[in-house]
Amino acid sequence: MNCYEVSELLPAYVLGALEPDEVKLIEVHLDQGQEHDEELVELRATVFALDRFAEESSLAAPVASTKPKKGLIATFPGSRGLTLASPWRLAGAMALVLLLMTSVWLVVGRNNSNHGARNVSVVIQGQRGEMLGLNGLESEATVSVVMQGLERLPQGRLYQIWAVRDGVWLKIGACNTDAQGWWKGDFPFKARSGEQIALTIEPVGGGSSPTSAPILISTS
Amino acid sequence: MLAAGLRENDSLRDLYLQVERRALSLARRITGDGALAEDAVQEAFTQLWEQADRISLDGGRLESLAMTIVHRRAIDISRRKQRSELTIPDGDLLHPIDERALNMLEQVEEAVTTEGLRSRLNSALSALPLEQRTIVKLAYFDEMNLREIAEQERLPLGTVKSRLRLAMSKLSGSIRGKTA
Repeated sequence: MNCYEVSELLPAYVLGALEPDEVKLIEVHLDQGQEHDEELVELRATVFALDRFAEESSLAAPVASTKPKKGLIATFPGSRGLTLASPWRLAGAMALVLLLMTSVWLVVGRNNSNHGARNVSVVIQGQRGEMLGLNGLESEATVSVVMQGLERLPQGRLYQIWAVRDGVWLKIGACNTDAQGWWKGDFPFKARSGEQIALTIEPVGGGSSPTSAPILISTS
Repeated sequence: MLAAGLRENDSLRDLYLQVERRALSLARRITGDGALAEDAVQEAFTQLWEQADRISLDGGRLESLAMTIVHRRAIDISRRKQRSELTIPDGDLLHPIDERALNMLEQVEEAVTTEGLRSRLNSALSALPLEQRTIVKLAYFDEMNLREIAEQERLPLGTVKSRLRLAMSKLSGSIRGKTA
């Protein structure tokens, strides 16, 4: 392995994202000289900083708010606990559906190669009007999420959105709602049609599987 | 504000549950040893319990305080271990590179405050292009290796490597206050 190849792999090396045989090759090379020391110091410092300060919610890209008027609670056909209690609720639901459809339209519009791509669209409604909407295309590496009516969590807790794929829980992203119980943003995640979407409350930096029962989960 | 409330109810246990995974990961990276990492985390929480009424949060976050104490305890444990095992060739416990990296981070933290450093890093994470954010999420937060990421994302291995390298370079730059 030459210096260039080692430099290419150093970020993965410090994150522990290499196979054991690659780690061995890198360490043999590093033991031969000090030319990578500066690079390594910076990378190790970055990993230490990630360990101490990184918030997974920073990976979500919040979208400029197009929040519906306060008090509108969305309900959707096909979701759990469906109750179209008033025309206002129906109006709120329609507003959010339009919002989600706009997100998908924008995604499709960005990339003409997406013609015919399958749309993944899930809306989950809780019994008290809380709502999670997720939209994306199977061909895209991002999903748009809207949350409404979910109480802002105290410091140290985040809402974690999951996809349940073949029985395996995959993290989509974590976020917290604002004081009005609202959040909208994009997460880097490739959704597939047919998988369940779930929402749990987790400690910041939570593990690779849920630590609590879902507060919202779509039907399979 | 004091952290004395930590002694009430299940506050300390809740805090432990919040930071456990990251604390063990941090301590393991510093000590290079799983058992020493557990010792460091345990010592840190014992210290938090004992000194709760003397710890000032100064507007900082409790998780950050806990991680800072874990960080310091892990370094202390590594140094103690090194001193007590001077006759055993085990220089990997606190590698000089790690020592320099920790010093570098401490210098930045002193210059811009803990909150400043937290803000720099998280802003830089948010500002990464989506394709780089995805790779950081999978490699760091989901602890996947490059090959697994390439398979899952259906990307060539070289693309995954270069995206991770670019992302880490931007994050490193952000810590030093350089814009990418």
